[in-house]
Amino acid sequence: MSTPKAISTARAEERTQRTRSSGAWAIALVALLVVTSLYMIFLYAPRERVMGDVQRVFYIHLPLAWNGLLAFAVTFVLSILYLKTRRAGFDRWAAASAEVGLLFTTLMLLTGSLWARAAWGTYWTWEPRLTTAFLLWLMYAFYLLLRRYIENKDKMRLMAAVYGIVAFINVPIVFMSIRWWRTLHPVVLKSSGFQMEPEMVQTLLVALVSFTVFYGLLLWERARLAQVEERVERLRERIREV
Amino acid sequence: MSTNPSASRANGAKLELREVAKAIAGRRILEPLSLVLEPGRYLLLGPNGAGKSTLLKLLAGLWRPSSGHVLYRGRDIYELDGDYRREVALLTHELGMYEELTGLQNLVLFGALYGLPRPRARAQELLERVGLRFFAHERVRAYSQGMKQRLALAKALLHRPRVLLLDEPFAGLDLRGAELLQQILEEAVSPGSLLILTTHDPERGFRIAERFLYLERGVLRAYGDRARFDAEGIRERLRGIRDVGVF
Amino acid sequence: MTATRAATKPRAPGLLRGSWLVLRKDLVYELENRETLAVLVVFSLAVAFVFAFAFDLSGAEARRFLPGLLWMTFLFASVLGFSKGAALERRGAGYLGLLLAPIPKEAIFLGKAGSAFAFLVFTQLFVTPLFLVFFGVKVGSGEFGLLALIFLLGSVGLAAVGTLLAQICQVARSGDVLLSLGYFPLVVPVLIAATQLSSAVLTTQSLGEGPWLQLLLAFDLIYSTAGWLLFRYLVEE
Repeated sequence: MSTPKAISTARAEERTQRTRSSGAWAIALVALLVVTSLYMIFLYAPRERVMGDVQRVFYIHLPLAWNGLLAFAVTFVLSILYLKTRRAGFDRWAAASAEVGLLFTTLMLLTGSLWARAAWGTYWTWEPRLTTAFLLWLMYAFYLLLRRYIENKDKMRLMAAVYGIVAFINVPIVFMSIRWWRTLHPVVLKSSGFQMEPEMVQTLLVALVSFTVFYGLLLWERARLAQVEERVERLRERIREV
Repeated sequence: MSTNPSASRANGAKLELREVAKAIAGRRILEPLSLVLEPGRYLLLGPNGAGKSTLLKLLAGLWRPSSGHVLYRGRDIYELDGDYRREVALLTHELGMYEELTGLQNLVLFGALYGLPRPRARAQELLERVGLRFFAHERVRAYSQGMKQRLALAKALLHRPRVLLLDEPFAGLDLRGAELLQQILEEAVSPGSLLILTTHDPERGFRIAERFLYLERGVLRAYGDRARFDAEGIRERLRGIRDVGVF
Repeated sequence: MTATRAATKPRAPGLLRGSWLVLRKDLVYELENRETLAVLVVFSLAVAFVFAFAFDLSGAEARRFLPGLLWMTFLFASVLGFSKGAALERRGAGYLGLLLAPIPKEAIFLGKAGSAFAFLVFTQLFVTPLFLVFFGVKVGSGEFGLLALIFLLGSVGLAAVGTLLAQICQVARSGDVLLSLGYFPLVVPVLIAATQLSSAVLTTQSLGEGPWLQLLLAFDLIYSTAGWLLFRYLVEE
């Protein structure tokens, strides 16, 4: 009636599911892309006429912003998948993506602030995109905090998944509301637009691709690390039991 | 385990487990278990941490199995949902009621939640039965542990459940309370219904139950009637394991 | 015997009745203990006091700042209400009883959100006249009707988000602290839309031209739906 086919099969499953390290080839690829981007950003792209070299921060800033948003979207999708399937892997990847996304958003806010100082004469303004980014930061910092504050792992995964969904739904609402809010007020500071030359567009595209690949690598490594952490935790449990 | 002819009625409360397993945070609490529980009274035994409470919560539909299904009269209890939940009652060490409301308010609330036509009358009837009539209008917060236990029992019996799951019902009850509980259970359990209780006191348990299930580390090691219990030396095993636990 | 039993077996309460029972339970509890209401009243008074000294407002200026002050008060008060509501379920494990009861899980969400909504409306009924008096702002009956509409719509969104988040945070260590951290970023759209609308009412006696009413409605709709769909995951084990 009861079938104790237990632990040996569980271990086998664990082994096959284990995520491999990304390996030398992936790191080499990212290194190549980063070096190419840096070359293009600082040497290949022409100096912008109005703002000068400061404009070059834009090639880093925009890919950071794009990848931050992408990372949170990935968390959103994986959270839904986790709720549907209850496979710990989805949750692990969702958390990893949120963490990388938070890192990118932090850097994006910093680079944006530097740019704003040069372009608009102020480090911070309650401009829609900036404000949305700031709220994104708050929401996903909370997401990661929440995960640390819930003891029971199963509960934690469920709660985090629900919050991962609720937070992402908020992104467009927040963005729209802040945009309306600002446009109904007098806008003092306007983005001083600049003409994109072909080299600039190429540089931006290469940087975008590099950062996206870089995001993928970080995500992969972070998820793998999380898996190792979990296994260590499990082994520790087993030792405690013995 | 379908050998008791008096209990197995066509319309009886029959539970079936199909490869039901539960893991919490990666730890396996209950190994895959397949089992048919015909109507009757069962004693669920095992050392601490064997998975007894987990099994009861799974049977009550409070916890979802990590894999496998629990069937009630051949249908998945999650499919039946409310239709199953109003047939089942679970008594645990947690009160499952509102400490800031009075005993009567709690019972009336839960009576209404179970869809009883006259919840107040039924609540009063049960308060009387468990000896809490004079405390009906007192906040549960002010109850003693034993009184809370009695109230929880009253709540469990409110909707005349056909599947009654009791986790350590004797804990916290004094001698009189324990006798009362035994009496009440004998009345409440009609033929065709299913009673499962866990206890650390098999002697007392066997005064209510006729068969036993013995769990160890999430695996069902033995089951059967009283004679089987003696033959397998379950009492000695329970004692032995508890002694090890003391170290 | 079994046939008659099945016939007399009462039907389990449906969604609406279930929600109502959960909501009524909170209200009955509150009427007897007045725990949350007392906290909300004292809190609002303290806030009014602090604002009066911090801003020293009067006349047209008061009219301009009042919506912001009101909504800040509502937000902070609502957090208190949510943690109280979650604590009530935690003590004695009342949730366990609700989960075992044969009502849909959605009824628990609706009931809890309903009671959170009721507390918010109470807070608004108490705070708004108080602030109007303290800051010397006069409103006509037409304005009052519009303000009531805005407050009700805003409260729906806050109650939906707050109920969902309180449920998430109550399994965490220091859940009450976490609740306020997670709550404010999520309800920024409500804050913006509701203050804009309230300002428009106080300055132009109309709802203004912005898309704020639509935003508020969209927020209510989206988060009520999200709560409806997601709540069952929060109460399962």
